[in-house]
Amino acid sequence: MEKHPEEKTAPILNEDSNLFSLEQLNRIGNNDKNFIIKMLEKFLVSVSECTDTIAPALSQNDWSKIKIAAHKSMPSYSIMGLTELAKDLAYIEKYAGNKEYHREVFELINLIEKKNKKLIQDIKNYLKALTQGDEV
Amino acid sequence: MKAKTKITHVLIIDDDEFLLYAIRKKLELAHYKVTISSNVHDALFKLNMIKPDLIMLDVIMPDLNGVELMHIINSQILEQETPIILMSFLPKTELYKMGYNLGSALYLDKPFDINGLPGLIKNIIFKP
Repeated sequence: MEKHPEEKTAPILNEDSNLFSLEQLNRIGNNDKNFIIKMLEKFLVSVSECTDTIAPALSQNDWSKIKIAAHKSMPSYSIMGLTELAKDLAYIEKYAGNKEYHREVFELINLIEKKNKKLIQDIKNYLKALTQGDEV
Repeated sequence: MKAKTKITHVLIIDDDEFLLYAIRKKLELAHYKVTISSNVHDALFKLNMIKPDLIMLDVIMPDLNGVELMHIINSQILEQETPIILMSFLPKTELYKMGYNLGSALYLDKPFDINGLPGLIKNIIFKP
């Protein structure tokens, strides 16, 4: 996949750079395990909503819906340390519907969808380990 | 006898529940009283029952723009001026271009450091 046309230094989405970080959440919640569990559960809902909204909207060329969904998802992705994904969502919000960037936006949305699926699985696994009391 | 300190009450209005819960946790740990609302109707309902010392308000929401809600709150609901912090990914200049009057509201660009909020609010509430 090509780099963003206007952001040549922007990291390229790849399916291996999907690591979330709990650093910010731990700072916010003062290392409260129950808070982390609650927030991860809320994040799972956010990620699912993002995917469930953007993918069908893309098939209908509903750019307004795509922009709103991308906009709404950015803060939670940022807090979860998923800065590359947050940056790509910002790109989608800015350029969705712009014919000049259609191919890049289309490719980014497809990649985000794939990454979100993996992210959901990773977080579910993490939550399972966390609620079972494992060291994670 | 030790004087009783008034607890600062913050109302946060944002349709992003993840962000709402994160901000609430941070402020509660800093001994603020926090009420949250994820939509405009709920916020207006709660504002009939509580008198917050400060309101944090998201700009882009599905049912009503946060700036418009701010003007309704200021003109129709709150009797005295309450500090309002507007939050958005949109740059402040963009809102001016869209013709919005932000009044005396403070503006926070998303994403912001939630860990810095207790200090920021303290500065706003207790400014000399």
